[in-house]
Amino acid sequence: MAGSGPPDSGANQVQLARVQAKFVGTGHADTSKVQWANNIHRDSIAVYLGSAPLASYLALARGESIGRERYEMTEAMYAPLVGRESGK
Amino acid sequence: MASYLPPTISNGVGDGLGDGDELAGVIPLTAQELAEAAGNGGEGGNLGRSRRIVDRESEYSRRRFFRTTERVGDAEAEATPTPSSTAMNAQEDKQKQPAVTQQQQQQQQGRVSRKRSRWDDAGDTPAAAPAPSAPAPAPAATTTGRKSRWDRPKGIATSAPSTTSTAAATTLSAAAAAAATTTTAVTASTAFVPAGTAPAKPSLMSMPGTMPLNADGVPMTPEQYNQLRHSREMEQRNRPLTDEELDKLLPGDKEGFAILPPPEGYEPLRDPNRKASAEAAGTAMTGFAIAEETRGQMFDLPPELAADLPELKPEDYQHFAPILQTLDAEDEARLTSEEVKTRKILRLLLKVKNGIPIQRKGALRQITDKAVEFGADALFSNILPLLMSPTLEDQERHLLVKVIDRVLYKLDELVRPHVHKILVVIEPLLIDEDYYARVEGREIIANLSKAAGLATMISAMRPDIDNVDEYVRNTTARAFAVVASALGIAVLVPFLKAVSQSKKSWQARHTGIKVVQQIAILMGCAILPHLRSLVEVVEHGLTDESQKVRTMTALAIAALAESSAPYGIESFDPVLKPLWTGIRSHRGKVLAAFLKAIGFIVPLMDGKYADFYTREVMVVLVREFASPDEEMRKIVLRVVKQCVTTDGVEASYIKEQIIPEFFKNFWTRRMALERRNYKLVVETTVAIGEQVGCGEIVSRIVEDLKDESEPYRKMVMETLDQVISKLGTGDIDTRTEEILMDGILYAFQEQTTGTMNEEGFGANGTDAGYHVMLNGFGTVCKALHLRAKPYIPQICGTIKWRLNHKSARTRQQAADLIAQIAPVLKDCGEEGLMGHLGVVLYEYLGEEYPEVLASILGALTAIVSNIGISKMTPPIKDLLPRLTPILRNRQEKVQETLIDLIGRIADRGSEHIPAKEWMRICFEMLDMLKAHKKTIRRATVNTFGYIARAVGPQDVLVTLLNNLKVQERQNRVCTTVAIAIVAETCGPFTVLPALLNEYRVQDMNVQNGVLKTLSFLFEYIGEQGRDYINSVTNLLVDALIDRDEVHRQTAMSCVSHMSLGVANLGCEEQILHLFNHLWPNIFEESPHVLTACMNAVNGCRVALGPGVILMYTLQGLFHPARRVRDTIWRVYNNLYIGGSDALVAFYPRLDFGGDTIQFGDDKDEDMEEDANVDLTPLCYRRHELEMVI
Repeated sequence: MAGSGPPDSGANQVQLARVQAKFVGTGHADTSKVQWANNIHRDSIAVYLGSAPLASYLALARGESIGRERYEMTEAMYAPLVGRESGK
Repeated sequence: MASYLPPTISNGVGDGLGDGDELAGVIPLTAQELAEAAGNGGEGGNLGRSRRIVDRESEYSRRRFFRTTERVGDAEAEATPTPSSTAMNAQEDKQKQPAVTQQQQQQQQGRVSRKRSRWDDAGDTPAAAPAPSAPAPAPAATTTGRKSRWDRPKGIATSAPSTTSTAAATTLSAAAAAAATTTTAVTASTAFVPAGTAPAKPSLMSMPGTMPLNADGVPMTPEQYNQLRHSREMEQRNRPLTDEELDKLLPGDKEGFAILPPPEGYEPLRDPNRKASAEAAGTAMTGFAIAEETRGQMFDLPPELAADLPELKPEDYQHFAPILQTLDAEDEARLTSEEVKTRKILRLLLKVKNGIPIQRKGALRQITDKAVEFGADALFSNILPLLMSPTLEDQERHLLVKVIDRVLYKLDELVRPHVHKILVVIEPLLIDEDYYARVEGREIIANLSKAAGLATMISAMRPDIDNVDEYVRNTTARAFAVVASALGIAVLVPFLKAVSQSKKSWQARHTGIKVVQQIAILMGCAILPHLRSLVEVVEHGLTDESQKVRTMTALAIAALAESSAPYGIESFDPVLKPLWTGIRSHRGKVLAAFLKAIGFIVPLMDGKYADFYTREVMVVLVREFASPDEEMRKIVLRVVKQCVTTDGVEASYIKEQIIPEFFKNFWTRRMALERRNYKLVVETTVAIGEQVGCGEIVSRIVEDLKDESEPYRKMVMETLDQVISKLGTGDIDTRTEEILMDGILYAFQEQTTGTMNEEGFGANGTDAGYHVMLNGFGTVCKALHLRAKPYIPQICGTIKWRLNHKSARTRQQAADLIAQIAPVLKDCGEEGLMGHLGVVLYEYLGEEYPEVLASILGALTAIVSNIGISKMTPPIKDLLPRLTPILRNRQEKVQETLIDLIGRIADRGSEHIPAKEWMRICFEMLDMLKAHKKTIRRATVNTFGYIARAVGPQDVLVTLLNNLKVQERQNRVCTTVAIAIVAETCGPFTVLPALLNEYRVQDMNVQNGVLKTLSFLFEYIGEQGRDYINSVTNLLVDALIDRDEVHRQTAMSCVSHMSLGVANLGCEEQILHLFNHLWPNIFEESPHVLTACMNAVNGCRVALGPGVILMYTLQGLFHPARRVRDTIWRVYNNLYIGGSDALVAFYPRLDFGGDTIQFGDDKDEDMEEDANVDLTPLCYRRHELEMVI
């Protein structure tokens, strides 16, 4: 992808653009830490949401219903970096 | 062509029409020159295939040169008398002009012949004039002012010759003259433009007018123009010497020579044609004064160009005139800003058009970047005339079109005023014969319509919709279809509706409906959402008063139905009635179009309706079966095919109503003669057969296998082939079966095409008849299967006889037939016969024609694989030694079939052959690894595997390992594959020690070969790699840290295969060890190495899990150096795509205490209660709970 071949190789740029259009979580040399952190958090939440055992594990630990836990995680996807620490 | 020539031709007179412009390469055409050009054009082919577009264009396509960029009726366009108006106008001009030109010619004739004196024109001039005389001033020379232009024929009278010598004629022997011609001083070719004399660049207005006129005032075709240019140059160079020149060349009175008068009554031999063109050439240069000092030197040199500009063709001098002049600083200062801009654009265009790739790219980028700065006006007034140049080549057009495309993007709506001009130039691309040109044209028009908008497009093209010229309407309709595909059908429908109901002219309605047809053809099933509205646009056209509109409507409906198949029948409801009533009232072309539409609509219908409507139309179809019109018959055939393949049409109906007439009218010898008819008849018959069953068709045509006409027999055979292979022989009764086999044998034996062309082997190797008969025979035998048993002795007799035929083709066909029917022979229990055939074939292995030999080998293969190795006669131990020498045959087909046969024997019957013989074959086979064809190489390496299994790997391996030392890469690569296959078949443990040992040889090729072998080996053995990974790890580590790139690359591809094979098999430790060695390679520069490296990393990702690799990337994701970040992100992206879920557990804890993070408008409503949320401390950490996971 970017920068793999000659610096301004068009094919690489195109390939990178295609990969990024298809997979949101991928990055490039100019991806900032905040963006990346956002992505990895969203990916993490997606995995918790998608896997029933994980979701029930988290729900159990927090003493919430699975549904609520799922809902809150979904909400957290909007700005995953904010307020995660505050015990939500 | 002849009709263009006025009667003055025979007078041998040239005129000086428009000599002013010939400087600009626009050469007026005299009647003589035209005659000559036409004559040469007729011979044509000696120039080879030209790259120029005009040379392959049809008459029709060439009509683009007659189009104007301005509207018909524009005042300016009307004011220009010549072709910058429509074709119609041009034709009118043609009527008017001859009178004028003839008159002018006569004036010219008088003047010219008075002035010219030539040695062979002695009769015209006083012969006794003194030889070296000062040239008398030409009478009209002084009057030459601004030269006349081609488009202003009245200015002709001012032209005057100024270089022609007026010296009196002296006579010389013809031999002397001939000898002297070599020193002829030739003035600059008229096609070249001396810098500075070039006329103003042609305006857009007269753009198409760059085609010069011929004597009739009709623009020349580009062909004529070019012919003329060549012939003119030849004439110019070979023109007779003047007396003055001869006097300079030859010794005269002073040296004691005398000039003899021509003998009494001497008439020089004159070919009227030659003389005519000679005169023309003479006059052509009359208006052109060449400076003395450049004589004899300039004629082939193009004007000087600035250093950084590419070469250009003389024809282009006119377009690029402004940049051909070299300007000094003063001149440059005087240029207006417009001129400067034009010069810039022209420079860039010239680089794009004729430059080397690097110039081209740079210029293209510049012209794109500065498009807005240059402005649409300046750009298009320079690009478009170039596109209309008669000498444009495909490549140049492609590049110019690319320029337009890029510029369009940049200019966007600024192009609006130029839409029509662009369309005039681009529309012809839509009907170009070259597919890519059509696609390009479509793309430009689509972009244009996106840039300019629908309203502009419509207003630009509306006037062309009812243009009198069919060419203009045709291209406009196609352009509209492209607009529809770019902007959506829906927006165009109201306009189309209005146009197709125009009361003004039938042309408008015709074009409107044609647009619908083109939309259907262009967009295919994408019309479905708009089908109903499109049908509504055209429906009333079926009852239009104009026959052309009715025809076009039916064709449009056909296209709509074809594109929407198999859906959308409900949209066609409104047209069903007019169509079906129409076929009863129409005849000829209209009827054909109606039938075509019906043919496409019927397949969309439900069964019962299809049946009803088919019955309705069938009456007419059956009537038209007997039509004498060839086109009608073709359409009828197609419609019958379409109708009978629809569900719901009953077999009994087809049998009773269609078949008798169909066979009567179409199964005739005449139909078999023409290829397209032939194909259609076969297709339709097969379609009918699928409905009524095989027996019905076979019994009707089987007798014809013995017809006396060979093409007809072929047609029968092909139909039988297709019908029987589709439907089997179930309903062929015994009697028919007998006739069938009898007929087939007869037809097979009687074929002549195969036997006639023994000489032209390669060329006719694929002739249709050969395969029709062969496949027909094969298919019938296979289909009859056990029922073929009674006929087999006879078939084999025929084959044996034909195997001995003197014609190579026949022998080949017989051998091919054996290959086809061998399974049938086996199933019929004729093993004895097969053995016999095997012996016969064995005897023919000395065949000299390689193609035949290949077929014989193929037949032997078929017999061997059917009868079994052990029962084969001749026995394998006799057969194989006979095959070994054939291995040296270089013919591809022979190699392919032979290696197949040997491979088969090695696979199943290796024990019949001593090991020594196999080794000999191994050596011979090494050469086959050089074969060009992949199948041969693949079969060869597979055969190595079989042989290795038969005789043990050691000997074969030694042979192959030695082969790694050869220079040729393909050979080495194939050898590595072969070793890997040997390893796979005999177990890696038999091969690996030798390989590891071989790696110690200090030869790069060998070492690389070993690595490559390992790579293939681990690819083939897959999971088994687990057992061998430890034995090669050290070797790979060594290779991965080698200096040589290729070495590392090969090692890495080995690691990638290995890691994929051993994934989840507990080899993580070894793989991680290897991964540590390959990881530094991610920063490689060479793309091949890098690809190999990324593949290896990916392989390791699978074996180790993405988390492990993630740890390697974390240090680099935010590295200060971009080069590092680029690469590491690439690895990360691969990890992410490959296993984002698995990464979750490994994401790091990000902690940058103290930093804050600004959240802008991204704020959540829920968060608003927290006033300080904007300055939340960075908390990239995850919850404790998550960390447990």
